[in-house]
Amino acid sequence: MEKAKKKKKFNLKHWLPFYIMFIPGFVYLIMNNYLPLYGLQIAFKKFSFKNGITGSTSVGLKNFEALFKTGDAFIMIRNTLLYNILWIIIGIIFGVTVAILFNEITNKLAAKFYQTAILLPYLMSMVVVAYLVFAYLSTDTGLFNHLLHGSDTSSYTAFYSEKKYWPFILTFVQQWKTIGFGMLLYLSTLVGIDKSYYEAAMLDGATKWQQIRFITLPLLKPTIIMLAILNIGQIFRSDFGLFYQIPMNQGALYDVTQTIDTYVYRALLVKPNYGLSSAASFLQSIVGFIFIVSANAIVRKMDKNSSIF
Amino acid sequence: MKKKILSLLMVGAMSASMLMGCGGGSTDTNSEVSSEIDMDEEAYECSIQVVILPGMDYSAQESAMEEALNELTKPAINCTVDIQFVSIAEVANTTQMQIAADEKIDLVHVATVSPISAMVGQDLLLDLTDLLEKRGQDIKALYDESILAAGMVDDQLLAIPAKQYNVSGKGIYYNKTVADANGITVPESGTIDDLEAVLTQVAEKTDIMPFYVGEGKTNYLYWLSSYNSFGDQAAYGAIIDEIDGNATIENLYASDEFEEFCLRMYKWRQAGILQKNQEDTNQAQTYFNEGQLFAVVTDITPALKAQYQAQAQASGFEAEFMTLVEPAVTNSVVQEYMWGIAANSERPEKAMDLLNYLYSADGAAAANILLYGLEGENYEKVEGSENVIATNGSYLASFMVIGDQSKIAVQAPNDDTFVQQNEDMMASAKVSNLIGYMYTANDFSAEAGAVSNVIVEYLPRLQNGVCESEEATKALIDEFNSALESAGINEIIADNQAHMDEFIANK
Amino acid sequence: MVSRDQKRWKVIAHIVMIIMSALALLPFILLIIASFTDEAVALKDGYSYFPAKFSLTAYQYLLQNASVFVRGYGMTIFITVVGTLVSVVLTALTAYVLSKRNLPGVKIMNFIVLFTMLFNGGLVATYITYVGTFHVKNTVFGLLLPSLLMNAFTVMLTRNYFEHSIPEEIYESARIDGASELRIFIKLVLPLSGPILATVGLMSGIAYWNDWQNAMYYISDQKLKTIQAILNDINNGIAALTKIAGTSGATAADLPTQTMRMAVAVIGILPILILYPFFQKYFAKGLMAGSVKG
Repeated sequence: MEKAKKKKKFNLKHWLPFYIMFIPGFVYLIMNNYLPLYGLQIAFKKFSFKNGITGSTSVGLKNFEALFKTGDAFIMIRNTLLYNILWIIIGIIFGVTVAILFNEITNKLAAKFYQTAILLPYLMSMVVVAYLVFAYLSTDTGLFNHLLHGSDTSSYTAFYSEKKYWPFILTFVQQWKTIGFGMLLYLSTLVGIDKSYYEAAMLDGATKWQQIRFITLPLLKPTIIMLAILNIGQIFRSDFGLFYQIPMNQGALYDVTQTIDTYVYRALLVKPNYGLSSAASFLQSIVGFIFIVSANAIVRKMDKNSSIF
Repeated sequence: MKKKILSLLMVGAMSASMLMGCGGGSTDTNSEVSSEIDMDEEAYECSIQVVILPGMDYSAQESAMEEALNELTKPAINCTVDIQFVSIAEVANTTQMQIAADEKIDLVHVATVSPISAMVGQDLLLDLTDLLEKRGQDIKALYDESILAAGMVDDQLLAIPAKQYNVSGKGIYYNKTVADANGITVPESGTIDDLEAVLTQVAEKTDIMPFYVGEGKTNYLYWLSSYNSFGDQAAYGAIIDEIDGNATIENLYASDEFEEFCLRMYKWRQAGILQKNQEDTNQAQTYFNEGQLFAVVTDITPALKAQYQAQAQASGFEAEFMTLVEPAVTNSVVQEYMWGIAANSERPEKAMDLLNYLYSADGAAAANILLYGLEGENYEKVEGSENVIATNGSYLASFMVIGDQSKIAVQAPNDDTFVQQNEDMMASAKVSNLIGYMYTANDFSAEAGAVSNVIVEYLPRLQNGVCESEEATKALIDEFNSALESAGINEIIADNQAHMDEFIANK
Repeated sequence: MVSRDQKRWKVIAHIVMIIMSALALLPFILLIIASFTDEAVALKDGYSYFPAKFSLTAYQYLLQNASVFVRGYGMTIFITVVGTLVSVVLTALTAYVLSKRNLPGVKIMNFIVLFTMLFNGGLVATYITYVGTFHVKNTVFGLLLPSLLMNAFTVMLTRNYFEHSIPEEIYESARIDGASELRIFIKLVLPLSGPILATVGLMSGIAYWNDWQNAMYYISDQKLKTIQAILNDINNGIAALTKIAGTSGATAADLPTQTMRMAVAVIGILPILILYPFFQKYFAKGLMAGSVKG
């Protein structure tokens, strides 16, 4: 008892600087994220601009019902979940692979060139990317059709009306756009790895593959797990631009491009309804919350150090 | 224990923030409004939205314009003006946010991307009934009772029409230079069959695109056939030939007219009249200006005519018009441009004063400033005319409609006959029985959202006639309609019909 | 043996990088060519690497409106520089605290940060808070503060780095020397954190550079609009005009065409391309203290 108390006292003095260091970030989060949280109520209200958020009348779960009233509810939830799961997995595989390979490149000029080039897609807005994708895939003027079939217009592929191509196209565009960024995330950990590990391994005659397997990957593990958990928290959300702009909002493709976000956007075209969009966002948060807490719990069971909270 | 702390924390943070949330102060609208303007109090600064094209910046001349306006408004109504320039891309958002956060905002643009149908049901606009009665005499004198009713929603007057020439024909405008060169005669007005005959010739004789429906999300049938539609793209149903007295609301997409239209579009694609498909996001206007397109759908009014012709001339050809739907006064034409007063306006009666003044005979000069900028700076009077002006393009209030149109300046290429042309068109136009009736689908928001989703899913393909065959087109129409039905379009239409019957009975 | 193995990896690395660079560059080159394509040709044939006719019209349009764009650039550069600097400091501080797994209450603090990644109050409430409570409307704070200054994702990423990539011995030895925590952070931790700080800086820099939402919501004064806000306004304006097509007096003729939008995209990206290689050195192998030979 006595001992514990003493320890606590010592700790406070030791830890106090940390609490102080936390204050600026904390204040920002309060201001940017926590104060506006009362807006979550809108999900349960018929929002009136005049009466404000707290003054609007309550409608219970009506806004949520509206989300599921459509026959498309299954499709949009399926699409949102499947694309996210797929992209989290291949995002990790590609990101890690590319980061490791990039790390092998010692020529400074080449490294500069590659890295700048690979990041390029990340810098383009989805609207511009949509135009470029269209330049390649358009039925009559698209570069692909011209390249594959020349002037034989009868064998042109109508990419924008064939839904079977789109899971692949969307995945490609998504990876193409984000891989430079993904690589960066892993690279920041990779370049931090102490080189002496590798030197020791090389002295022992380890092949490159063995070095990757026994040094690089284990050291990358916390980063990989953390990014995976964070992404799982966003599993019910989708990149609106990717699903709306890239397929050019084509009705024939809704089966494979409709997500919760695009549905809400299209539903509000006729009449804005903050209640409905808030309900959708609230639902996405709740599902994300459940997923992220479960994922973290599983990770904590397996490897305490890798869990993120 | 740990969970408890977390949940406590969440609740704490949420309730703390709830205390702060009291945006959008409500103004008591029913307080007694006197009909006299108090000239002794300090002048109220009244804001007015001027909606402009994106990328434009008029901040440099804003204060000069406001000064010029104040010289007129202060002695007249003891009010100064605060111009709020807003880009068309941002106006809907800006209005909502300004009202939500109770920022300074008075006169609101109720038009274009933020029409009255999108603004109802969210308490953005004040009920103006009382204000108009007491402080809006010039406006009342300008409009027919029935036209004013276009701003009525559920017994509240939420907006006031912005223009008094609320008549518009529908049809196409076309590249006359191409027609002449190929010996194609286009009638001044006609049916869709006449149009088809013309477009077929264009397809045979020229290598430019005869017709274009673009992405197909906007229903072009609206410009080719006479019907009154409710909600965006007839999401709440439509009345075919409403202008001739029909009063049955039906699902436009299940109608024979629509099927005929889709089959025709299929035919047009086979005949090479339609060349691009729904993937193409370019505007018809762009193709037209580049001389690559023969005809485009359009509203037909004297103002639009003059403008399109001038624009075509600048691109090196001549434009002419073919009317397919005879000029009519309908709710949707009146509702194209309106003015409202923001729900949080500090002094709504002063806002009404300003609006009323701008529509008065004396206020035409002030309206001119908002519309065209400053004389000498942004525009000059055209020689030989008192009322026609030519702008130099340094100020474009593209989406501003305000003032008594018979008093305000007329912009070249319109000329002194402009007012007469409009009067004539008004005189010959049929008037819809449903002016003043608006259906908001308030009890059916979920269905409305689902229906809207279905329409953008199917309409583009049907309108572009891209199905492989007539049978496939028909099958797609059926699929479209069963999707619409399961989304709840029939419930919406039934509710709409009930409301409308009530409206007609009360009239 | 080992060296041959190493060489093989290097070759594979180069091949993969070349393919990826090509995949990234080809569309970008198309973007640049598109911005130089004649509008009529683009309409008729779509974009191609070898357009039938080139044109400088798009760039002439930009030149005509140079004053607006130059001012927009100025604003963007200012908020990007200031925003990124503050952002890196704030993120590093917060992440460093969270990386102390023994800190009493650190779990709750972690959760406080992570929670913001999942739940948000939505646009209306955020707007009311910033405009009504903090009065950021039409100030540079309106561009700097909302949503961009710090986010849970980069904090977690940085925390992860502090936790796993900085050797514990460094802290131990410093503490024995009696250095204060702040001093350890500044003198020892930060110098070892080049790669992660560069990553955070880059992410934050790109976020500020590309942001248009803050300007759209919190700025109505044209003088304070950033370049991306102006560009985005133009793009949204075209969408808005399409929506009211047929009825409105204003038409596409008054607006930039698609090739102009391409030009606008090019000038939005180019500055980052020029600056990026300077950042890049932080990711080069062998920069870490303790490691040797470049």
